[in-house]
Amino acid sequence: MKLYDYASLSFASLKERKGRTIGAILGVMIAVIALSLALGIGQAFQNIFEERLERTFLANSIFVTGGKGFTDADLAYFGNIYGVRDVFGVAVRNVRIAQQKGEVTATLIAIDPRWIPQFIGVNSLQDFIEEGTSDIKGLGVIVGNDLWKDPDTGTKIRDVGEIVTVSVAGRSAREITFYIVGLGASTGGFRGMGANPDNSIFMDPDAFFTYITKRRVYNLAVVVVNNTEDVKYIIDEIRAVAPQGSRIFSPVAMIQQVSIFVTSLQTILALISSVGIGVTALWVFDSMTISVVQRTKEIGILKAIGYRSRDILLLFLLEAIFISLIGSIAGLTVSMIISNFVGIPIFGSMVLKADLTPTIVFLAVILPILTNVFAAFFPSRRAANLNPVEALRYE
Amino acid sequence: MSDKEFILIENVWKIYKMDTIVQEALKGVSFTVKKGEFVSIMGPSGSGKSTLLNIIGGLDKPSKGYVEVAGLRITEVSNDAELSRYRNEMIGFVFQLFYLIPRYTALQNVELPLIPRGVPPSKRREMALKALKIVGLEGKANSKPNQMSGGEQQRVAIARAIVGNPKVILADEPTGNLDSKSSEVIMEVFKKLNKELGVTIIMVTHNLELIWYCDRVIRLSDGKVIKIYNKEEYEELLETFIKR
Repeated sequence: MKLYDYASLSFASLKERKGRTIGAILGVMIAVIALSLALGIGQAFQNIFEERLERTFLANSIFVTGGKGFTDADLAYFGNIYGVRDVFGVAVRNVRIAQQKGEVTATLIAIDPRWIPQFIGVNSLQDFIEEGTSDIKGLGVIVGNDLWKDPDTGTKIRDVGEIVTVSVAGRSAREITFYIVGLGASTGGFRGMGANPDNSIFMDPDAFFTYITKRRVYNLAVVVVNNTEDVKYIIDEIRAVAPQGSRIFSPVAMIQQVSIFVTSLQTILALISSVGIGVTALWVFDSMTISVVQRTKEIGILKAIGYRSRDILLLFLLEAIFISLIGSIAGLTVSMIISNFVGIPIFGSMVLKADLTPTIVFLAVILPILTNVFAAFFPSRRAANLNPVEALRYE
Repeated sequence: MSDKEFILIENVWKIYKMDTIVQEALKGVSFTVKKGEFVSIMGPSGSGKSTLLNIIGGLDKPSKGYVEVAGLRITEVSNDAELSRYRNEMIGFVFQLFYLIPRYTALQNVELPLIPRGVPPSKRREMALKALKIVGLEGKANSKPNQMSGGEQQRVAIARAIVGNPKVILADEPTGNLDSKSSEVIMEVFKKLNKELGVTIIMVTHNLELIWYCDRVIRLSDGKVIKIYNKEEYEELLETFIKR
């Protein structure tokens, strides 16, 4: 007996019981939509979250803060640790700026421009500079979005080439005038390491240690590693050489925690939506049991004319496979349409759309087939083992 | 196996046990059937006729005894695949209630036994049409069972039984549900199959009028063979029944 023959006999039987077949297919379809979208949303959430965190917190970095700050010598120590790719320091000072609507507080950040993208969580410096240049030598600075654009009206209040005077608080309080070389794009106000890029002024570290403070001490040391797997070992090494009172923070651990959380969330969503598959499997079990009873005489006829028990078993199992396959394909098609047109707004400007990866597609097809074949196996086996004489006598 | 002992039944018993109740359906039945013979099994209800037919056809197992059909010792076959192949290739069943599958057309019903053999669809169709032609129903190939009379349905069932060229046809009350005219048509088909194609036929019947189509009649009663009648002894057989 060829597979084609099994398939055509099973299909004919399904066609005869249209109502129950369509009901079962709809059940599988709904279950597949729920499962694939739950997994897809979880996947998309994980992708976005991890990408955001990695970009924002420099996933391959270790942040060292606190204590009395870090000198170039400290940075050099960190740079000599095995597995460290780069080290850079960031100095920060709170300043006040006179705006049209009154004085506002801003953060003055001294950082080498090439590290700005990683520090604020953008792909490249070009993505951050909306107008002007990133060349922040001397007293040339880049001002954050909220400082050159009115946050309420969106109108431009400062421009490239203009000067901006800031008041530095603290022991060496003074007023310093910078000139604007670049205007920063909006970063959504997302704070990287406590700084809001939209409310910051980025300047050259050498100028910072000339005009703001004479002490060449960084508030933050960022250690970039070659391999995130080495982070634990490098943290131990940093702890050994860092000044007393330093606090070490690694985003890798946090990202891992978030990743575990998102994976757990995805698993829970999948489990909840799997209830649908379980209900469908019960439906298939029930439907097959009724079918076996209704077709007892037919099974007897088939056995009398030479069908083996194995043939009968396969004919019934194929019915379950057909129901699952048609339901899965229909459900996946609907899921794909939904995932393209329906999204959940997240992080303000972003929209979360279900990410139906090949693994999710595979699971959404294989899970209903496996569970329904399992559910159909018991009534099918009963059909296959029917005594032909008793089956023919059945009324 | 000789042609004289094409079907060999030796001391066949069938005992049903349900809790403490023991019922003996067959009690040591023995007889032989020659190749190409048309044999009828007669007897009252409950005499074990259908049970015997089911045992010969490999649908049921005897509790004791030996059955051999065309050289195959079917009482020694326990494998489902081998027994199924025996039913498929050697035997053609015809039942009183036709047992056609309602969703399939006459042609599809006749094709059914060819599917387990792996016969390709085009060849299947050709063979099924030929079988329908033998029973005079080639014009009804695409009719469904509910669109046909009882006699036509039984002829489709016969076509299904002969489509795979079986060596033996086992017919259990094939005319039991038909009027006399349809019964005659069916018996003519059996006669044609027996005389022209040389198919061995064992038919269970209550109908005394049908014995004239048969070469021999095996009379069963209470699970035992009472007598085996040759054609020249049919008058005696008829008298026996008329007296009763």
